[in-house]
Amino acid sequence: MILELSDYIYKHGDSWAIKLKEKTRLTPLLLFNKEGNGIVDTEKIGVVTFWFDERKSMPILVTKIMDDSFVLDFIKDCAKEQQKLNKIIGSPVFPCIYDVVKISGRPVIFQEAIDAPNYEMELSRAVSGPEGNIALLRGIIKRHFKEMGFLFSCLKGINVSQDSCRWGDWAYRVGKDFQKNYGLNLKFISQEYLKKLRASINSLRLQSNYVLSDHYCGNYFQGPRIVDQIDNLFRYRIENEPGAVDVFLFVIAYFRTSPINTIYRDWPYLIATSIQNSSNLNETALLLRQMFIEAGIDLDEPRKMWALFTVSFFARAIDELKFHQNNIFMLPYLSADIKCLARRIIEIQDLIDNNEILNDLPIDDSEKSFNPPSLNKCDDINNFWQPPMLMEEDYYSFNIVFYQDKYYALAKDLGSIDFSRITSNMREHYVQNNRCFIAESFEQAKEFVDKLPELIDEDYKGFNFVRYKGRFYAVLRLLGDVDLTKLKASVLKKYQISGQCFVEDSLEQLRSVVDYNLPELMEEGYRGFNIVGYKDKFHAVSQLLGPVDFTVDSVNRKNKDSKWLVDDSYNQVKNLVDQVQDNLVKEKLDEAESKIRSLNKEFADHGKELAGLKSEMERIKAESESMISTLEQELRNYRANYSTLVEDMKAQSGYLQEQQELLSEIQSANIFNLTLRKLKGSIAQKR
Amino acid sequence: MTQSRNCGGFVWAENPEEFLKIARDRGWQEALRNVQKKDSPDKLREALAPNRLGWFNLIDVKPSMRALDIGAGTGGIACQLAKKCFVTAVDGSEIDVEFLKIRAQQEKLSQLSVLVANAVSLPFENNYFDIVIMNGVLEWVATAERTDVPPMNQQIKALEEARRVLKPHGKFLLGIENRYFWGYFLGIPEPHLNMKYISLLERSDAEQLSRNIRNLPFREYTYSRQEYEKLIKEAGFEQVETYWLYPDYRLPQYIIPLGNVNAVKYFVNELLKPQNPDNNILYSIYQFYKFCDPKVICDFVGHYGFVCY
Repeated sequence: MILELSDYIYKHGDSWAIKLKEKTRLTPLLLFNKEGNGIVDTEKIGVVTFWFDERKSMPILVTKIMDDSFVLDFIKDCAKEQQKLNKIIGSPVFPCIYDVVKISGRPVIFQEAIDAPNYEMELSRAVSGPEGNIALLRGIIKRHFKEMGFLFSCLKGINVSQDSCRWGDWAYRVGKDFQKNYGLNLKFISQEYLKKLRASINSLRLQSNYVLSDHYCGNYFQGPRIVDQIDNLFRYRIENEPGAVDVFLFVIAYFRTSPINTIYRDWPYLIATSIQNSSNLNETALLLRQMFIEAGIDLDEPRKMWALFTVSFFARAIDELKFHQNNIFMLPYLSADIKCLARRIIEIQDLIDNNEILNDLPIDDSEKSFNPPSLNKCDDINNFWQPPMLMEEDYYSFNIVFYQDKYYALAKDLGSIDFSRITSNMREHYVQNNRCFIAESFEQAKEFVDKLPELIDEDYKGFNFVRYKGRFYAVLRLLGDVDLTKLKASVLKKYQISGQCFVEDSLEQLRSVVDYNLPELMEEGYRGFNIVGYKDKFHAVSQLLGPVDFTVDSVNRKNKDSKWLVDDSYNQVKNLVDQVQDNLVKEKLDEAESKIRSLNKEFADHGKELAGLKSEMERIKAESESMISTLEQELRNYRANYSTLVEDMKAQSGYLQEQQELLSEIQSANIFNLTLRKLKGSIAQKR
Repeated sequence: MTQSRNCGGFVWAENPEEFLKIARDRGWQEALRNVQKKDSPDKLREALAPNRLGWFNLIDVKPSMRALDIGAGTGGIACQLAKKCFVTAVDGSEIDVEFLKIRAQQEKLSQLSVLVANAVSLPFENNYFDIVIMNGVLEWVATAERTDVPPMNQQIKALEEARRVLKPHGKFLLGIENRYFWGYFLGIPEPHLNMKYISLLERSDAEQLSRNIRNLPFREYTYSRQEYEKLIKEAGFEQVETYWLYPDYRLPQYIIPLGNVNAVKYFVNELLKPQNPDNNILYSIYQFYKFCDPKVICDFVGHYGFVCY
């Protein structure tokens, strides 16, 4: 995938003002969506890639491989919106999106890389980095709140419709969602509470713009944002949540960073205190208040403030619960965390109630009757949250789960189920596709499953066995995907006639029908034939025919030639084969005999010629033998002469040796005589 | 059934029959979950998490390709990769292989075949695979059979085998720990032996220490970045791209190209999240990365990923 991205960048980079030099070598630094580390079996995770070339210390480009639930046009619209906002604000708040394309089925964003601080990272480092200190932390928070306030004040002037954008309706839905679908005790939020929430927020004038953001956290600040969390609900959220102007949600996103959470554990309290008109605000609450003022948020609207605060509260609680529900099979280990969360939510609510934070807000005389309703807290914390319970596992490939007073029959192949998802659009999708049923009772859920086609046996002699509405169907696999729930009676009949589908009341019957209707190989390669039992007959099919379709060929070919023979019994069909093969053999024998006869005649014709050749050969043989005996005699004579010669040479050699010895004796005698003579001479001289 | 290896962090062998029985009867996930309670919380996560395939982004994977996962373990890589191409998974442990077969069957992974094989003598013909993976395996290859062959020779042999079965234009992915991870200097135990400082010692001293403490020879060799690159080239690979896999090669969240100092610098300055000061060692490692020259950092990171061809 990364290689494909680099190819795309090389191809189009020049038109994006990133000016790739020729032969520039791009190096990718990859970042995976951290949620991809989780337990949930998500095949597709977000990948952010920072592209470096050899020259610059900053990445020249950022690509984001998104979840395929994103629609390209939607991302493009967001990009346009962001650029429009940049233009109005007069500074490049949002990074430029160069291109959005689908590569290998995944939407990919090619985005400008901006050298600017990442707020979350700055905060993290200020809190726990080696360079961190309190003064730095204060400075960062102050600067960012100021920037955020400025940005919101800019955004406030954009695209504000005169009518309410009815974000209250959205808040109401969030509240209902929270109430119904997150396993919380239904008494926790009253209907009256939600209605007041809706009315209060609907009376606010809020923008409807949205910009592409990473989950909650919008791209309010410069720099290559990372995709923290990607899920299939992203599009739904970004389209339905008050995007750029939901200050409170944004603040929540800010304080979700873990080291920050340790400081601002109870952010709802912070928000609540920041909107009080009090001189005793702490430093951060004061900064937050200044931000709201700068952003032009009307702090004298207590009902609205209360409503926004509450919805922020819901949103965060949902987010946390959702995490646990995404990891549903971890519940036995995580239930303690859920209870902690529930306890915390109630504690925060208690804190707000006890401090009478909301009640201290100035209220117009005309609104004196207004009294923000409290949440109805559960006495027993253990009843606060009701996790789904598995009632029966693998009931005809369905799990039956009890959840929120309902029984859910869920197809096992759906895998790990997030209950918040099946309660929204996906629930409808699952229900429509018979993957999920919601029933009032356990028996009813089972009945639903009973009515569904269930694959009992896959590939039994080329058929799939399916149980449907109490009957058993055998469907030829070659037919592909056949939806029995939508199969017309006429089509079914057609299939049945052609032997592509069978219907019976019991599995045993179905098996016997399929067995009966299916060709069964009785003997392979009997004299070049396969003997096959099919229906009531026995077929002998020549192996020369290769693979055959019995439903068609058994009718078209049988007994038409000697390659497909049919009879009533196994032995009879074998007899037929024998007959055919015997006849074939006889024909071949006759043919061979006639060939032998003609060959014999040819042999007779050549007989005389052969006799002449034979006598000639004998003559040549006799001559050869005579020549050989002459040569042998000559060889013998030669050998005799040779041995005589060797004897002579030996004799001469002995003579020569004797002469040699004689000569050496003579030489010795001569030396002796010479020496004697010298001695005599010397004696004579001495004398 | 033979006793499972005591390496790779997996010690199923406590009761392998029961482990496999649970896998067969109640599903492979349940079996892992069962181990998870007793052993480590990461087993299931490692077997399922999609970014087990994280660094496969760096290479081209096509449906027609054949991949070999050496030391496949519970199939965290092999099973996910088998949804993208044809995969052969091998492991020296019969239990792991049996488990993988069960998993493949339950997940209906028709593109996955599994067999027992030793990394130093692979039963495949030459030039057969497009991709070969060895993730957290090379350090163990010398322990599979206790022989007199020096560990490094065994490891080179395993690399040579990987090269042999790889097609000429194929890619070999190697994920492994750094012998000189800065954390080891600060007292983090070496994970294979669970002993402090052992990888930093001379081999002979480490051998002595290993024999004294655990009564076993020291054969779980890891190396420095330069040594790895040398070994890889000795095994016949011509090109090596080196990456820093952070936090580790099992579930990388970041893949940083060490060939580009700017990228390393950017990662440390802009993306690396600070550690909690309460954790002295991790905080010190963070500080080290933060204040070191990027070129130096490259030699002291925790986990390397090598793309070789």
